[in-house]
Amino acid sequence: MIGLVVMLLKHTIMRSFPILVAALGEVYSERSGVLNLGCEGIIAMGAATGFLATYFSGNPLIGFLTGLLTGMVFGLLHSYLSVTLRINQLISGLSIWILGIGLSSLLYRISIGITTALPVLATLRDIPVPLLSDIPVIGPVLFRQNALIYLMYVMIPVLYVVLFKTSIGLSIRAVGENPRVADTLGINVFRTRYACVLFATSLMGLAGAYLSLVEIGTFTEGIGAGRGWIALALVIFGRWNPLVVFLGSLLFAGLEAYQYQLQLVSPGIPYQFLQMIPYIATIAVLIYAYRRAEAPAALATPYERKELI
Amino acid sequence: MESMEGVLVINLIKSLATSLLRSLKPASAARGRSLSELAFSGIVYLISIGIGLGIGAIPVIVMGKDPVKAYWTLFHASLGGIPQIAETLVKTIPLWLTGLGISLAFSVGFWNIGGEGQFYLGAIAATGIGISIASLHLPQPIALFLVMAAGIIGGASWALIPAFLKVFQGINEIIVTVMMNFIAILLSEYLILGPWRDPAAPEPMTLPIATESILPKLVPRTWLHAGLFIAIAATVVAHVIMKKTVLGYEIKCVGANPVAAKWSGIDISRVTIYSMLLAGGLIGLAGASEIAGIHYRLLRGISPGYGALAIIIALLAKYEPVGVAVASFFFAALLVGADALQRTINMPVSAVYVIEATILLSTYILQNVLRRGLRA
Repeated sequence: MIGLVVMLLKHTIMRSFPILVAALGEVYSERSGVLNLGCEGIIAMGAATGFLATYFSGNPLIGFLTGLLTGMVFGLLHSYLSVTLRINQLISGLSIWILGIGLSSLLYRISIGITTALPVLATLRDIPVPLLSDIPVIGPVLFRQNALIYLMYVMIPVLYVVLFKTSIGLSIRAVGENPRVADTLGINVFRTRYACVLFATSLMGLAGAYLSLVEIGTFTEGIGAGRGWIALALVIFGRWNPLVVFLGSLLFAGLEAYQYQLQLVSPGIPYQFLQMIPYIATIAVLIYAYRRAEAPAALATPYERKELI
Repeated sequence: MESMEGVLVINLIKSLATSLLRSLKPASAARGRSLSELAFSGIVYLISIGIGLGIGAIPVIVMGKDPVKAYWTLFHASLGGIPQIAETLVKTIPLWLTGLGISLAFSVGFWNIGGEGQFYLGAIAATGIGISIASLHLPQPIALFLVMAAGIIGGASWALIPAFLKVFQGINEIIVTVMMNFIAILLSEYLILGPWRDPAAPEPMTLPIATESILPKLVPRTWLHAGLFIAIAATVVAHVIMKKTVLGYEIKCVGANPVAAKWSGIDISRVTIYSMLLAGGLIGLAGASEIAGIHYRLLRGISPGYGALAIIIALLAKYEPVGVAVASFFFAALLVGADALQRTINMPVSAVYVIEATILLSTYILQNVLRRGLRA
């Protein structure tokens, strides 16, 4: 019984990476006033390019970096459209979503060819942390994970501190709340937004690469399975705060892990209903979260510099 | 280097556009403006389509094939003759109806990303009714009416959930509608593999619908079915609603400026719910017509992402019903052609998504860049 619980918790942490990392990026993007509905598409792109790079190079590190860079390219596109050209951010994001879904599958198919045997890569090995991994329950849950999970442990507090305790974070929040005032204070609104969007999308690309390289071990069409959208819901649930977002990601990843476990232990319930759980939970969470949500005031509004003289 | 070329191309486009606009400017200022606007968007669309098709040629070249030949195959397979055009029209119908529904939703400012789910619910409801009336041998008009009505109700009720959540709880519809897509597809999988499964069929699919509820064929030896008339009728209805009725006027008011609409006494909740009922109904009808026109039963993958493609169609058509028809036909031709390319040179159909998203993004970029260029 304890063994089962430990495994479930370990899987929860392991599965939280893609939605949490994508959501952490999106927190920064939205705090600076840019909404990115393309998240799901960028995750698919990161999954495809990360997988292909690893497949052809044999080195997962190159795969993760490629996923990250792919995200950045899409971030450049999104920020050019929504920050520079001031196109409706929803439209820009939706286009990027569809582009990412199509392009990821196109790239994959062209590179691998249409084969019956799916190429599968060995997923990353777990690296137990000396000493800490020997603590009962906590050890195997938290400290027998792959390298990226440890990176995630570092990211959560760092991103929280940067956002709320440093001048960089203050600038970002100022730009997202009132860009005009931020501009008069000498903060470069455009540069801040570009930086935040690029940061966010590179994390989404990394999340995608994690999905294909660690969680699943291959690329399939529809690999994101809504994780990009769930990440966006998570940002609202987490009230644009990295720490609360982390807690929320545990909830979603826990449901996901639990749902897989249920499929194994209770074959009586049609698996489709179990697979619905994360999506229904997302709607439920939104109903709960919207009552107390206070989005950054300038979210999804483009900023135009006006000549004052 | 590349940026140099980019600047050159943009300058070339700018000078072309300005000269064309100047030549098109007639004496009457008001009329002239609308005409030059029309020419402007015409140019933007043409260049965007060119860019989209150009991007689409890249994978063909990468695969070592001749892009000109590929586009010739695409053109021939989708528009080369009566059977090909019929096939393109078959694919136009679901895009068209879904595009109309999405346009209506976007017009009222409701970001309905749930077209896919509403389409599936329409198909599910139509199949459910179609199966259950199979043994009754109803007259064809009644059977058809029941199946289509079921599709409308199925789609509309699926659209009503996010509409209620938005109106009464203030919950943004975007993520909710996306989540409901996943739920709808899983629900259809459950029905296909579970209670409605046809035990005699080799692949997972439901029992067939009643033969009386099958939409009649329009052209012999093709799949073109009477769903085309449904789409035409729906376009007329949508056009009349938007242009001639109070509801249409209110929809546009709410979509343009909800605050102003509220202060001028429009009941935003009522308008949103009515338009989402209509939108979901149209999209559900698309699902029902696919079932009654082509598949005659529910099976996996009945939509190659119509919900997402219809978003692009609605945005390209600027929510105009007639524009939706034209854009749907164009994208259907691409889909049919891409199918042929998959068969002949193994070109993945997902290229269509890339081409369409590129076209949409190009129109927005060009509109902005050109307008700025013209102003300067």
